[in-house]
Amino acid sequence: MSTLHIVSKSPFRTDALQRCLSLVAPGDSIILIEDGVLAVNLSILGERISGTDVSCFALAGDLIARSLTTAGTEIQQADAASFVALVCEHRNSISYG
Amino acid sequence: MIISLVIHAAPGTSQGAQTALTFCQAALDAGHQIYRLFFYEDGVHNAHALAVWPQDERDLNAAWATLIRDHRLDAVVCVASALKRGVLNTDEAARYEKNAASLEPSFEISGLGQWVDACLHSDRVVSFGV
Repeated sequence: MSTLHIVSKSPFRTDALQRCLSLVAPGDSIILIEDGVLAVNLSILGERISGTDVSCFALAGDLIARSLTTAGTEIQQADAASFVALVCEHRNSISYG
Repeated sequence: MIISLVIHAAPGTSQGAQTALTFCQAALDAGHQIYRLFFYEDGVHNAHALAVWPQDERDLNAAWATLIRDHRLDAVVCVASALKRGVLNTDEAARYEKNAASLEPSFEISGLGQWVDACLHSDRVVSFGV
């Protein structure tokens, strides 16, 4: 029973990302949205998902709005339709504030 | 799939309400059913009919009202959250002897039981603006 972890806050302002990374399990996915995309280049995230079957996504519009890119990371870009599909693919979702 | 959303964010203070609106539109575009939108805590400000937005900003209050009307969505604001933030329908305005109602008519005022009901009847529930 997989879970989609939705991180919407900056890793520099809250411990949302850390709480997410402590709970994420094999088969789960993470999506970074809003200020959560500021974590896109953090090594703590890259190291946690590298070599695992945890997929990580970031909302493309929120990346563009903050002049960020997923280049050089294992994070995939998602649009709103992909976000909806991810919610449907996972039995549960957790939103971290 | 049957999806319900709970929105905690006010339209002008964080991005959560905007994200929820975009998600809701995308879910409808993909053919999913939105069982209920539940506006909780500061999220009730999305249902405020008296908000006036600057011309160079997107009027999220109007955008929600249009989406709800166009798709005949069930949009509920939490009564306890709404009353203390001045979001009242005509019945509540009369009950508390206030001289204006401020709830956009496409929303309804009800209780947390409506969110419990949504959780029981939806395949997926998603929180925004937490």
